[in-house]
Amino acid sequence: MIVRLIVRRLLFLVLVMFGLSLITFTLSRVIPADPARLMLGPRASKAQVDKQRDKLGLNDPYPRQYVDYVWDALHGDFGMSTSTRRPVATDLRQYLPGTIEMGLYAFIISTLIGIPLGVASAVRRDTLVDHISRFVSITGLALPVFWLALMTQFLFYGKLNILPDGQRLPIGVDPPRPITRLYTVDSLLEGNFHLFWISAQHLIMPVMVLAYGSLAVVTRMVRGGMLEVLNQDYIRTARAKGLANKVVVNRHALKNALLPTVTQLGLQIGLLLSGTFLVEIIFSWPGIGRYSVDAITKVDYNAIMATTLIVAVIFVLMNLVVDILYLFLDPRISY
Amino acid sequence: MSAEQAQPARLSHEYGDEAERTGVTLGDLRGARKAPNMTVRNLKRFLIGNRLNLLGLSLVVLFLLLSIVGRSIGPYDPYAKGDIINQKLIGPSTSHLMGTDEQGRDVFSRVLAGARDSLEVAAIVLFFSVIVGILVGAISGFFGGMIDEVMMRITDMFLAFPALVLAIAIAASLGPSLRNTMIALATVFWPWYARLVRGQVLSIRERDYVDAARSIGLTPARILRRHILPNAMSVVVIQLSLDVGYAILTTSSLSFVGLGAQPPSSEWGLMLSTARNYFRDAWWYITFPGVALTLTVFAFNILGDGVQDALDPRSGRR
Amino acid sequence: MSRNDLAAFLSDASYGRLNRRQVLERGLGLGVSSALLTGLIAQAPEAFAAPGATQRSGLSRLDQANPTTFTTVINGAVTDCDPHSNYSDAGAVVTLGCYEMLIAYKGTSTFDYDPMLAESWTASDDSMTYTFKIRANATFHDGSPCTSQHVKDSMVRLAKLEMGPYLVLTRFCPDPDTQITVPDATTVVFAMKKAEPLFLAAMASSYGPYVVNMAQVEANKTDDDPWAHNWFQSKADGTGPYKLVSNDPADGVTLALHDKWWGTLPEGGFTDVQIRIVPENATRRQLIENGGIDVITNDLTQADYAAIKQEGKLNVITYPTTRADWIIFNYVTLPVEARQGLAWAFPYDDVVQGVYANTVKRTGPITDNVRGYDPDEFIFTTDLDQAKTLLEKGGFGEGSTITIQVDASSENSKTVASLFQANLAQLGVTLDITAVDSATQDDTMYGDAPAEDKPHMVGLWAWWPDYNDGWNQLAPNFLISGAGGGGSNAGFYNNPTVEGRMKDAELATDEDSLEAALKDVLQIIIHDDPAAIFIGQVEYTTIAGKDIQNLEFNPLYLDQFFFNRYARAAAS
Repeated sequence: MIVRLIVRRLLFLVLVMFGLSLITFTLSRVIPADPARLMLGPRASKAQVDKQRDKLGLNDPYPRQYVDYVWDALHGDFGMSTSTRRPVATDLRQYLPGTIEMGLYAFIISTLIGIPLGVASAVRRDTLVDHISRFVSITGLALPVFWLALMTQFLFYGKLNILPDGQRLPIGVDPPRPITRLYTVDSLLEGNFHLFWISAQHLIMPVMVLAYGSLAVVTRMVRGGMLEVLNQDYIRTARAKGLANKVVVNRHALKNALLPTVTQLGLQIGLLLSGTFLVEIIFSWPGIGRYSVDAITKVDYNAIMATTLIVAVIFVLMNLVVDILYLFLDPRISY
Repeated sequence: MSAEQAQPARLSHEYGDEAERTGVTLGDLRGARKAPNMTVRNLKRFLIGNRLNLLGLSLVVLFLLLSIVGRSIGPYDPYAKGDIINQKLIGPSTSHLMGTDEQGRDVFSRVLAGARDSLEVAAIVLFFSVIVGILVGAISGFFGGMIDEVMMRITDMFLAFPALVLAIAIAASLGPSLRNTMIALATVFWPWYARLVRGQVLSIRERDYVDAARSIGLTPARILRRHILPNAMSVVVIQLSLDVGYAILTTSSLSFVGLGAQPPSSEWGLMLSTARNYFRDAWWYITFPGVALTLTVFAFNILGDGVQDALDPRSGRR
Repeated sequence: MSRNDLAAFLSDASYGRLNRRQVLERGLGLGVSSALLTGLIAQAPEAFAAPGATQRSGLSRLDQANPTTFTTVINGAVTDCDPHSNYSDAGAVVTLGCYEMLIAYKGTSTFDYDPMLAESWTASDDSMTYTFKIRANATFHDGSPCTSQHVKDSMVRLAKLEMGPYLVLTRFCPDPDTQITVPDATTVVFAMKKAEPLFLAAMASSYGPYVVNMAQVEANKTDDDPWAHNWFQSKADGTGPYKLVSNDPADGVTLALHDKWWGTLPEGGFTDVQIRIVPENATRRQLIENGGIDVITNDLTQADYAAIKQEGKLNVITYPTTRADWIIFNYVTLPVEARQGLAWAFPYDDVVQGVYANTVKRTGPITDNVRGYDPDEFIFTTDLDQAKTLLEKGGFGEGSTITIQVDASSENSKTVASLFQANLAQLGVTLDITAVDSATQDDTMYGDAPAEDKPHMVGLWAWWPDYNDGWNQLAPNFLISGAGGGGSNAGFYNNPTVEGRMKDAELATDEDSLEAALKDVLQIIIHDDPAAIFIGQVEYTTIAGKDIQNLEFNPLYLDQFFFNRYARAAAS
């Protein structure tokens, strides 16, 4: 069934991308600004702007523009970015791994801490552990991300000076040979531990900040799911039968509580991988979140399209993984 | 042989040994079949059973009250001109409990007044998201197959949706206002509820009492409404309590592109995003609206836990 | 060997930036004495543990191993390095480092000139002929010498490319092909078509009149791109003191000393320049406070400047600029009385003291260091009674609504609008503030939507001239040719007397008639038929480490640096 699911899902992915590209295309043309003017700046003359519009194909009728875009995209050409003046593909190659590296670590940490914390919180309800986890949840949700990021930066870079202010690497330090383009991974693959350590240092703050917010959500969801399940009959039954609490919790309760958690995790990682703009701005991180917001404020059509489609792919794939996990978590489920 | 008598055999087939050993019967199922409701007993239990619940409820009531009277009960007029030359960015004092902002206005009065705008944001965004999300998720999960596939792919589209583009486009055509921003946000919040609800529905629909209900001939709508959704609501409630703060913060993060509340509003999110520029030298400006927001999130979290407990269909058996 | 090469080498070697092999190679190449070489090799490390290990990291405080690197920040990417098309102040950071104009404004003066690529120049008495003598030892980054032919061809390229700043040249020299002659390898003669007293002012502009290496144009041109614009967008080859080493839209720009540059660095001068891109204000502040960067110019808030000044650990340099700020009126939908009324209603004191922290001097659109400034010009003050009467007369009395649109990313704009809103509320007039994203704001500024569809006011707007000329400051903003995408006349201002006098100013053959014409124009656009609410001349602030010397900022070269002039004082 899984194979059929994957195939079906991938076919639908194509449809999703078409639909999304059409919607995004239309919406971005609704924004009244002129990308050519934004490219050339306030002192350029009308003639220059018009010439630029022609060059960018902006004076063509809309359907023609859309078809041209799709045709090129299918051939791997995602156009030029009007905000960086480089091919969008180059931009993506540079910025996507930056966000992925950051998001992946944040996800791993928030999952590894969040799930056990949520379980402990539910099982030992109203004890210290529970209160700590609820505190973490509430602060993680209510504290603005930018506040957390700025405070962390101020404390660890500004005052203590033990972590760098931002970026993936210091200026002048070359990245490792690009294999995955995740600097920590590539430097290990190269055997360059010094570079690994430098990249890791740069990752610490942004990852911590992102993980904290994600952790809050995961913990809460696990706790809630566990609490609900722990009250159900078959748990009581299992306990009454004399099964050890640990077995009850881990085998019976957790699996069922994990269902909504896994859903949430899939959504969370989608969110993390599509980049969090504020964290990237504050830490001068070259990532897709910052790139996509810049693209929107500069009305850079090609970049907007490309980043939207990438995010679509990420979410579709993540939700596919989640749906497959459902099959393992609850064997009764079928599609 | 009546339908009822035929049930126990299926039960043991599904639950395996446990059912036989523990003797779970149809009688138990009857209890499960009944839709949970907020009976008076449940309500009392909910309120009094737990000090924390009481605290949460009181805080929520407090915020609701603030949202009605907040604009008038502060020591200063929250929207009047401040003394920017002499009173700019002064720390907390007896005359200004929470200090002043970059225009010399009293932060305390503005925080009180902002309760209304902020809660309104959360309420509207979440209300629409939940309704649409539950509808989509329930239908998708229950019917499965192609309906599920198509609806979930539409959901994926909305998850990947460039919310900022939509928000700017809406602002450009309909004008930048808080209402229009909320519409834009609701468009991107509902997929979360849809995914969550669908997951739950997928799992619950396989349970026996649902089968039982189906076999007696209840319509899908009825089954969804009375048996599946109430059991899926727990997840929705948790997510809602998570989202109150998130909705306000997301609105605030849009203010740098002109979306969200407009001056002279003192919506907390807007205050936070302005305060961001002064966070080094005016800690109070960012802290107090932040604390207000945290308390609100806290209150709704507690409330959410309490509602979750009260809606638990097995609550009577505690 | 040049003194520069040796200086750079000794600096690098003694600060441990070179490993032994590099010391040997470079030292031998420079002909350094063997005794010195031995000593240097002895103290140099064998090899480096990791690439770039001795480079500055964001981690370390001011790193003594790299005193010859100058670091600063900009807050957006430099996307176009072509000096003949770049028209943004961010891009000028690069063009001013890699290329040279013939002359530059001297120090902090907007009226006097210093030699740059030209070592001397003369102007004929009738202001119709300008002769420049080019330095004989000026060399391009590729090593080839710069001749007068390069100068002429560069001017032709600027004119023919017709991008960005080309009018800076073509206003005076529309046919560079015929108007420029090169009698010998170091002399360039410009023949004007009429008396042009402002020509030198334009040639000192940092927008446009740069000399590029035409060999690169030849080598990289294509049929589609006959002037090799694509190549120059990302690469540089000029006579300037620095070569463009790298330009990344996320990481920033690095420059390195052009070892064949005709000039010399001062003692402790900078052989490398790093310009980081840091979009977040708070991060920029921390970088300068921690010594992670050397200098930051105009990229922090007034609150930051005040706090840094109070701490006293860094140098805070304030200087006047040629930039003026104002709020644009919608000329079509606001009758003259309404505009005058609004100008009386504006809270000038609150804005000057509360928002600008007294860094703005009340003037009209022309600042006090630009030709055409009128010290007797009319300056509005806040007078709510006059405002009330005039607004009534103009049809926007009590109970009416006026709209203002601001850029949401500018906190100052929002505060100013809020203060204005409060003043107008006292008169019973509602000011609706709409904060929009930058792209929409730009569209309101330059789009061709009719004036009726635009808000009553748009703010804050800022402008400074390309060179010292009041006409150049006013033309794009207040002539009808600048409306609807032709310039920044977003309010569709269109006053016939102004049009006439501006024409007189444009064609003026001497400074006196220029100033007389502009004086008349100012009277109208400030008071008689207001085009805007003029806040005034803005002062910029630069923060620098205390060890950075020779920092001097010219009011016309906003946000730009002469990296080759600065130096770092040796650690004591």
